[in-house]
Amino acid sequence: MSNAVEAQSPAWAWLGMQTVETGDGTATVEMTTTEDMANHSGFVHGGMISTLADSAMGRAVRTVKPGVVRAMSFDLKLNFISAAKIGETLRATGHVVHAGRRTVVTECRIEGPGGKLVATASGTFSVTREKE
Amino acid sequence: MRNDKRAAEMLAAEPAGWMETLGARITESGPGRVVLELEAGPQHRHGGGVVQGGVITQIADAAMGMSLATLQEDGLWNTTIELKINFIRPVTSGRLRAVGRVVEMKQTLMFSEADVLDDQNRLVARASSTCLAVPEGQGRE
Repeated sequence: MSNAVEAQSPAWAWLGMQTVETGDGTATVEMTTTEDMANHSGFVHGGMISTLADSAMGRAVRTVKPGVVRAMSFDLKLNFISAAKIGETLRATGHVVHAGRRTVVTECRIEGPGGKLVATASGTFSVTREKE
Repeated sequence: MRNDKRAAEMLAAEPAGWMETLGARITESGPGRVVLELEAGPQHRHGGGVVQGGVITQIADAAMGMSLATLQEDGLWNTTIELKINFIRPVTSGRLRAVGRVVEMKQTLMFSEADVLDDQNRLVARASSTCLAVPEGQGRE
């Protein structure tokens, strides 16, 4: 699987997001949190976690067959469950729950070290598919 | 904390209140997982001819809240403070199953999810909710 998608995304590079695994309808993306990602309390800002979740779910959408040539999230929802500390590597695993012709429903778990549940997310994507 | 006694009591109880009105019943109940079933009929459909989303949301919400209650001690219950649902497939009739499961229990907030399945086990809807722990019986007469 090529990393062409990430290579074209300045945001992925800026936040240091990397795809570590992809499967059929799943993708795992990691991000090591830095001082620049802190909120007022010194923990990882929720927006950074949201970006990671959105990216992992979007990456999972791109594993769907027939191929997805364009995917845009039009709904993103998170539950922040535990705070993440700066320096921790966050691992987001996105899953496709339903792959329709025009929309794809996804979910995601964001875990910290030791599998600590940091957040759960769901997202809905508008997609354009390759013709079969 | 597992509350096996409460899980068993919920399963044994006759449907009452909204469950009776809607025709829903609890068919499985264990620690962290509760299943509600509903035989969908014309009374549950809207003008478009499919089961109305609120009916699906109702059984999903209840399955989620009840699954959390099976991990709460006696004297405590919960109330939904936030809920999200994706409707994936329309349904017109047949048995609907809402499978509620616990995602995480915190001190005051609890997180759960539910799948709603049709009689061929196809995914009809998926929901998630956040609930707040409250004293049991609050708001009741």
